[in-house]
Amino acid sequence: MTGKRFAVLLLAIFLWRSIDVFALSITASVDIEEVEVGDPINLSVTITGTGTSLPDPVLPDLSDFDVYSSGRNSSFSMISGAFSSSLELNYTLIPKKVGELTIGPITAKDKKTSVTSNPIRITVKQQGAISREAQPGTKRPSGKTRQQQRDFYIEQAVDKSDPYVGEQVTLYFRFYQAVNLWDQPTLEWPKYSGVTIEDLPPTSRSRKYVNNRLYQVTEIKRALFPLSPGETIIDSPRLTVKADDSGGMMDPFGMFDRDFFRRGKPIVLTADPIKLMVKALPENGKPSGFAGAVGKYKIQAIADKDSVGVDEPITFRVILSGTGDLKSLPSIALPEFPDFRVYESGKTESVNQQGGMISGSRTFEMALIPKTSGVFSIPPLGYSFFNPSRGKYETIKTGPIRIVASGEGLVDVGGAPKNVIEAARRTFGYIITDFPKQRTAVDLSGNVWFWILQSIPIFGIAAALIFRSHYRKLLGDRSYARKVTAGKRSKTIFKTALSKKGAGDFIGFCGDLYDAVIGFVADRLDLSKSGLTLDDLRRIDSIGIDLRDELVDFLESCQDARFAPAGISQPAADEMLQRGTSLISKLEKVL
Amino acid sequence: MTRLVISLVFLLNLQSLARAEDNKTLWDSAAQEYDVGDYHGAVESYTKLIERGFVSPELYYNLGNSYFKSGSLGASIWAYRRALKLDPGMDQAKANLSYVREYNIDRIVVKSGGFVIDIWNFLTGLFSANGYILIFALAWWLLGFLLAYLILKPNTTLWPQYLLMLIVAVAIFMAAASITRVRNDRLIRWGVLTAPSADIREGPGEDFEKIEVGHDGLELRILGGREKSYLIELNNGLKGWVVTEAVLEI
Repeated sequence: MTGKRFAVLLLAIFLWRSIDVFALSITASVDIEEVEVGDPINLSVTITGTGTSLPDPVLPDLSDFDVYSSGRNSSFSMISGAFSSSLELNYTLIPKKVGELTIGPITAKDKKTSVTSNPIRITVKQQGAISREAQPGTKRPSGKTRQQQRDFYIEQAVDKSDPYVGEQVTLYFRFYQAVNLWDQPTLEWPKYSGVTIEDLPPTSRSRKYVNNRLYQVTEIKRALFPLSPGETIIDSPRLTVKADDSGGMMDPFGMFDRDFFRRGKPIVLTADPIKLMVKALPENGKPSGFAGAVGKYKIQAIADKDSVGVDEPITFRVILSGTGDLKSLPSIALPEFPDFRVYESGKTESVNQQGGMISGSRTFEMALIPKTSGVFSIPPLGYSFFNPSRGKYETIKTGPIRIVASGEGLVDVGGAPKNVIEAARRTFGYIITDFPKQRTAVDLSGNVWFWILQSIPIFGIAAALIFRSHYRKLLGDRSYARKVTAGKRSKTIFKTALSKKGAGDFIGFCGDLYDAVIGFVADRLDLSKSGLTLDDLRRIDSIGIDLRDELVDFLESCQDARFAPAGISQPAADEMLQRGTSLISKLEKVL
Repeated sequence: MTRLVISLVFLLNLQSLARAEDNKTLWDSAAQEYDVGDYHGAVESYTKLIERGFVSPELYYNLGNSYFKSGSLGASIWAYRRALKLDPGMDQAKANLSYVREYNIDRIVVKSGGFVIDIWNFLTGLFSANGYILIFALAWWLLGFLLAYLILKPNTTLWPQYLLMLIVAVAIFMAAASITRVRNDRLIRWGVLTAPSADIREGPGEDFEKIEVGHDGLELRILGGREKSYLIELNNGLKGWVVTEAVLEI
């Protein structure tokens, strides 16, 4: 064999080997073939072939499982002069139902070839059908028991499985961890229905041996409050962890069990669901005012002041405190406050999660403003709740609060009760049946005649003043008094003269006439009557010559008649009287 | 010509008589409606009489009763106050007005202006304006007589002088009370809320902030008006705007 022929032979062998190595292959395996519903199954799919690019597998119908991708590894190598590459894909499958389930053939296809894996049968059993602490019947590829292989697991439990509606149920979630974690675990709570939830911090950590293996146990507590009676399922949370198998061993004897190639792979952990049989609240003994509060409470009513002015607000607080679902606590049914205007100013909650129980207080605050002054009482407030620890209803009450309001305010929103109004309406009043006269309003304030009438007293007062002034002058001014009273005096003398005339005493009659006229003139001129002579009268110019002559002539006639031996006749006396009267009238006008 | 005038006067008298007869028929039918409990019908009949120009305190009094029995508190207050405007001394209207006021939802609590103001408000609320004017007139005349007596008889005993001082005080008080009542009764525009409730706002229109809510029967002073709203003032001094359709002016 020549050297050239040997080289051709080597190439032929190489090509033949190459053809053999270039074949695409796929394998699929699971870490466990018998599980309970909800338990995770790790599915590993490995594709090998040549070149740097391998096709991704096509998964069959896996509707019986929840499928989560949990990692991808690829490698490239040259063995016996041949290049090969491998792609490993990991999935976490969680079976949804009980029975014999099949993971169908998984296909990988490149441009030339198409390969499929063998189907895998999984036996899925009911929860609890396989012992969790020891898994004797479980077959593992490695032949290990299941517990031995569980570096992590979670569990959940409740403190009571048959609570009353609204009663607190404490849910315990525990994470058992035998090896260190590659990364922080991710906890995903389920969507609860039929309960309200409150977290109960803090998260506690402890160490515990389970089947002679040391676990770090992380415990989280939550308070659940069932909303309605009947069966309530508490689904499992999901915890995704990534193991760190490289070190930090918690169990020094477990290091040989670790699969170093699983480092950093995500693992989804679930626990068994919990069934609660929620009891309805008993009908027996339910108070009339019961609104659904469950727990154990105390009540307190506080007014910030007991003495205020009308229109000044009083801050009135009703505080419910105790244990129970405070956030869902029904409001207090407040009584009517007929003496106050009420403005709700808010509700505040103070919830305390310490000690494994939800406790705290809920405060209902309002402003009360007295409508009027007086002494009022805020009546006692009652609150009923169901105490699940005693299994019966309880009613608590506040004491009455006395408020003294003084002063006056704005608007008193009051009015009589409707029934009183209705009764009053039925018996109210009568109507006037006699047809009335058309009438306009008598408005004295605008009546002119009325006010003119009111002026009369003013004139009366004025007259009195004038009269008083005149009277005072009469008393104080002699000449004025003589002047004013001259006419009156002369009339008196005239009357005397008349009586004398009637008696036939004509001489006396004439003397009186003389006295009356000369007295009148003397009074008016403020002269002495006794000293007044006819010559004096003849010198008076103020009365006019004619009247002066008439006066003198009359007085002379009176004198003549008085001293005449035959006297005067009746007709002459009448004439004298007439002349005297006329003369006095004339003199009154000028003097 | 004379005959024509006489005929016209006769015709006018006939028409007037016929109208009076119609009014009486309406009056009687309103009374019958009231008696059988048809208060809304009675209100309608009495209102027709008012629309025909018939004015009488008795008519407003009956209307007030009918309104109250038909459940219209504000309108009944309006009617009684109208009756008292025509006849301030009408005791039935006064009594019924004070009675129906007890059913007001809003009761004005007037802020005290002090002892003197309270006494003043009490004393000036005892009689009508005419009542105070008449008492003032009486005091005025007595004062005139007594003054005249004292002028004419100055050196008399002391009692007329004491009486004079008393009468002067009464006259001054009555004059002031009369002015107050005339101002209140005749110069101030009064109104009453007839809507079940009405917002009292800071300005005319719904865009303004609400100050208070008034209810049927709330009596108020009308200070002015703008944009379908009245500027009103309550007895406690609260001022605001109310839509005109919720108010009946007295």
